[in-house]
Amino acid sequence: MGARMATFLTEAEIKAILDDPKPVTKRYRSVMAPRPRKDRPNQLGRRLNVRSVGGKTFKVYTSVNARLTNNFSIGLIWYPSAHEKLTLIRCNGWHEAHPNRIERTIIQPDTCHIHRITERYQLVGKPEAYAEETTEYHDFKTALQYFFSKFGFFLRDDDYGHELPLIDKQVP
Amino acid sequence: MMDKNIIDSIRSQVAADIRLSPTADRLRIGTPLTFDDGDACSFFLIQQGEQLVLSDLGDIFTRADYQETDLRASGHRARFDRLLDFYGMREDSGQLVMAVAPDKMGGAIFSFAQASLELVRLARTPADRKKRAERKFRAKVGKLVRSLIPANKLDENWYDREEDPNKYYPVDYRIHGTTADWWVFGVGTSTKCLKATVTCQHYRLLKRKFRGVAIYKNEDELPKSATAPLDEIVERKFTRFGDDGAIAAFLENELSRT
Repeated sequence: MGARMATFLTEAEIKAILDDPKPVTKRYRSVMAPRPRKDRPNQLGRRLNVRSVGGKTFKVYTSVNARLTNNFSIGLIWYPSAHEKLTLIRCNGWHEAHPNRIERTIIQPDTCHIHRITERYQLVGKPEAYAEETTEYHDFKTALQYFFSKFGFFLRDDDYGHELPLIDKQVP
Repeated sequence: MMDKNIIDSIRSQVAADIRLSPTADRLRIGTPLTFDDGDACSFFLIQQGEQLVLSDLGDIFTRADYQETDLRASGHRARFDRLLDFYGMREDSGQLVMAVAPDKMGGAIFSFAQASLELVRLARTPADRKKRAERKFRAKVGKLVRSLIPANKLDENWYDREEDPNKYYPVDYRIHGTTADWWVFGVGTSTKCLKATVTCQHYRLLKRKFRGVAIYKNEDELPKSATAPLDEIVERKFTRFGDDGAIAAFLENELSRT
C-alpha cells in the first residue's frame, strides 16, 4: 500500500467547503467567548465542533493571548479524515509583519489580517502562508462577528427549526 | 580579500532587517524570519528588575494552540523541555523568556528567533502516538469518574501535602470514604502500573488506610511482571477499560455510597 496522500484543494473546492452550510446554535457567541484555560496560563480560548449540512467535520477555535489581547486568532479547521486536518481560514489580530512570499507583498505589523488556504501556497508546502489585510474587523469581538457572518455559518433556530443567516446579526 | 565596503554594507543591511519598535515598557524586536504560516517572528525585550530578558509574551503557546497542541502536555513535553534547555530559555507563567546580557544581545536575538521557529514547528509535529493514546485513555477515565462521583467527594491528581510535598506518590482519583478512601488509578502503560504500585506500597508502609482500584486500559497488553504487584495491592481491578458498564456500576454502587 502506498503512502497516504495529503489532501490538496483547488480554489473551487476551497470555496465549496467554505460555502458548505454550517449550522450553529444561537448560543454560539457565548460558546466561543474566550475564557481562561486552567492548564494554559495567560491563554484564552474555546473550541466548537461543527458538522456541516454536507456532512463535513469542522472545528472553530478562538485563541487570545491574555498578555497581548490584540493578538488573537479565530480559525476554521476542516478534517478531511480522522488523521488529517486543514486550517482553511484564520481571522487574526495584530502580529508582526506578514510577507506573502509568492506575491512579494507585505502586510504591515499591527494590522488585522486573514489567512486563507490557497491552491498556490499548497503547491509550495505552506498551505496557510497567504494572508490578506482586512478592515472588516478591528478587535476580537468584531472579528468573531465577521467570522460567523462569513464562511457558511447559519443559525439553527432550536425552537422553530428555521435557518437564519447570521450576516446581519449585531454583536451585543 | 572581500572589499570592506561590501562587508560593512552587509552588516548594516542585516541590522536594518531587524525591526525595533520601542514602547513605554518594552521593545518589540521584529525579525525577517517567518513561521510556517508566513507571519514574521517577533518578540520583546523587557526590563525585569535588574535583568534584561527576551520574552515572547505567550505568543509561542498561542501559536501552538492554533494547532490544537499544548507543548506542555505529554507527547510534546520532553522535546519542548529539551529545546528550552538547549536555547537557555525558561517558561514563566505561560511566556517563554531568556535572560540576556547587554553585550550579548545579537546572539541572544538570533537564538530566541531560532528557538521560536523550532518550538512552533514542534507544535505542528504529531505527539508521540503512545503518549497520545495514554492521554486519551486517562481523559476517558477522568470523564467517567467525574460523571459518577460528586465533586465534593473527589480529589484529582491527589497527593499528601504533608507526607509527600514533592508529589512523588500521586493518586489519580481519591474518593472520600467514611472508613477508608478509595484510590483509583487509570493504568495504560507499564510505567503507570509501576508508579501506581509504588504509591500504594509507600502508603501501605505508612499504614495508611485506603482501598485501591486499578482500571487497566488493557491488562493483557502489559507485562505480568508489572501488573502482578499492583493486582496484589488493589482491592478491585478492571482488566479492560472497554467494560465501561462494569466500571460505572462498581463506581456507582460501591463508591458513591461512601
